[in-house]
Amino acid sequence: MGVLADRVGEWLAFERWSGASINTIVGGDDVQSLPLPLLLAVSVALAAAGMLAWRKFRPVPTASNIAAAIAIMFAASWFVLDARWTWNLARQVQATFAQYGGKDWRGKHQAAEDAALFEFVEKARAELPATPARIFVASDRDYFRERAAYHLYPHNAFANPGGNVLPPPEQFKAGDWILVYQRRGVQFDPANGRLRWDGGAPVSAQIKLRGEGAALFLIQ
Amino acid sequence: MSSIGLLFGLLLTWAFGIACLAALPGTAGRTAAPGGPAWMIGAGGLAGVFLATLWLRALSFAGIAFSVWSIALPLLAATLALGLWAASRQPYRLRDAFRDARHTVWGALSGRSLDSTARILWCLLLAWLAVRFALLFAEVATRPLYPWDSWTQWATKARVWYEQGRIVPFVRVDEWFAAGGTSYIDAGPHYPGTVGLIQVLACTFLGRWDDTLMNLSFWMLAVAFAIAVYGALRAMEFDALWALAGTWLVSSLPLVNAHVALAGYADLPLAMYFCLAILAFMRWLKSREPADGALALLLLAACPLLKVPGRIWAFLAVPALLVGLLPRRGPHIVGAGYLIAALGLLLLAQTDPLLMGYRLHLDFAPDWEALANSFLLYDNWHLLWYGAVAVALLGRKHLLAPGVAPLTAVVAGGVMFLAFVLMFTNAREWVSDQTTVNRASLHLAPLIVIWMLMVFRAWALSLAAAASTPEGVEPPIDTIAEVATGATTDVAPAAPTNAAPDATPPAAPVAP
Repeated sequence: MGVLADRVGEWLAFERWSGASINTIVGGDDVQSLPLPLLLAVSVALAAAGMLAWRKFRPVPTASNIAAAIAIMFAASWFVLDARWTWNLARQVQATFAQYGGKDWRGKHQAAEDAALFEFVEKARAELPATPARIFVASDRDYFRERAAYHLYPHNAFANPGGNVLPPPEQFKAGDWILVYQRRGVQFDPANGRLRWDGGAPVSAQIKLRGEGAALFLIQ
Repeated sequence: MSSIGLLFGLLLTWAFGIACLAALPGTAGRTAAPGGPAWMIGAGGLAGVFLATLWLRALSFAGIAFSVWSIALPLLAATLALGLWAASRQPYRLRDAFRDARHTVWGALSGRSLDSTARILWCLLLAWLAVRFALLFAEVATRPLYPWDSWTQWATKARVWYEQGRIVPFVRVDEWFAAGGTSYIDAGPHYPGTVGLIQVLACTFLGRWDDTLMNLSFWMLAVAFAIAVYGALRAMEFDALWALAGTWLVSSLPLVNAHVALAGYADLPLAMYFCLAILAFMRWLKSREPADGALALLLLAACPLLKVPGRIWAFLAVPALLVGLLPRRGPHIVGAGYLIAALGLLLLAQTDPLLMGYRLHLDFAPDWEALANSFLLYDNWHLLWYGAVAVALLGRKHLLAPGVAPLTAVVAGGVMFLAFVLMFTNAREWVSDQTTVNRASLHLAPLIVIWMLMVFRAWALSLAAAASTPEGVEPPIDTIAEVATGATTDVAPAAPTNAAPDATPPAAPVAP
């Protein structure tokens, strides 16, 4: 009974949405000794093989029931998996409601995993011009870099798809912006209004907004 | 505008699609056939959304800004005009048509055509599906855009296009610097824009940017798709309960559900449009009605505009047509074509080329463990792949039976394409880390369910036919398939249906 309880526990473990859910649904615990789809498939296969073998030694009319029996076993096994999945989905909906329920668009982002970044970008947007501006995003983490760019649109955000590399200074022009979020190697000299990154040549810039591990600069 | 506006907009695009299909010549007489209304309602939903995105492209091309007026008014006018045109061709009055439609829909929903046990099962299954879609609705309507690619390369375009009121270009890094601020960039600048335009539509009707509610369009597409699958299966002469069971199999695949709940990727829309396009071609092969052909072409056109691999999937309609149009020679031509394509790719792979972004190589070393996890051990697909393999083995004699063969040609081509990409290109790495293997397979999965049902039915009927003959000998395969598909004949020069130029005369029908 203990072994069965362990297996059932693995199958019914709550699998909440993660970044990987769009690619893979494990179906319970990440690691399982006996995956439920395998168990059900083997059960149906053995029963079907038995029936088909039996058919060889039985009067022919019974053969007409074999297909129906296999279909019913297959559908029932599918239903078992689907019931587990529906139960998981229901729990997920409950969790999603607890996190986002009753909130408007802004409130939902303030309750999301990147709430601190969203808050900073909202403040940055208040500093940016009304018309879309070119803005470069720098962060050591791919997630923050891409996510900040997403929050900055429809400004013309540039989050280098090639990696954590800011373009060289000569590719910037006056009126461009730089949003820095948790990025090492960026230095600003407020006295002289000079900004440089990764040990490169400095450019003239003005700091427009400062946050915890974050800043917004306007290139001049 | 508000949520009411969004609801109105979604229903309007759906109604627009239905009106377009209803207005096509040859449709009127077929809505009374089993599954006819469900097919028109479901396929109409997908057609309407895609046509609406084409309208957005036209507006942008003409320099007219996206707005409720520039989108909703023309769609409303077109819906009314096409609807009235379709109604005027009906032999009875509009009021009677609505009454009949209500009667038909209610009759279908209540499972009236079934006996008592089957009717109970039908109602339970319908309730189960309703719970599923209710849960998915709750999730989509509550959660802001979540999965990675949805906000790095799909909704990025939607946000910019919605706020700018037009389609502006997204370009690669060097082009972006050269453009000096007139072009945009994201993680997938070369990706097609249809997903973004679907989100733009929703936000325009909503009247504001909302990266939660804009994804209700994808939920609506999933509902429409389920209805269309039911209609297609009914038209293939599955009874109401079996058709609903098939719809449940398609709609309960966990990865399909995940792509509805965490909407914003192009994979599920591509799977739905591709599946319905092939089903529409199957209908056309049987009916030769221009309406079915036009719908198939429209849905197929959506595939490359949804995602780059959609080009390959769209191309797979060719083998289906070849096999359907030339029942005797078609399978040989398609088989030879697949062989030549495989050999050609193997030769090409020796030069280490890039094909549609995939680097080919001859290093055959698939990650079997990851593949087994994806298809057999994890619950991505419930029992789909077990079932597909079992059905292919059990029904191997019926894979090329008329009615089944076109689908077999598509499924075989699709599986070969997936196997090649996942085993002979750099995409193998995405099998190991489980990032792409399931999403790539998703494009084919709904069609595999339908293929599985058809092959299984052909096998089951052959067993039944064998049981009913005194010697217990299975009748000829063509005869069984004829019973299974309900096709009147494979040649039938006098009949307008399923006319095949090189088909053999049909065998005498055998009752199941």
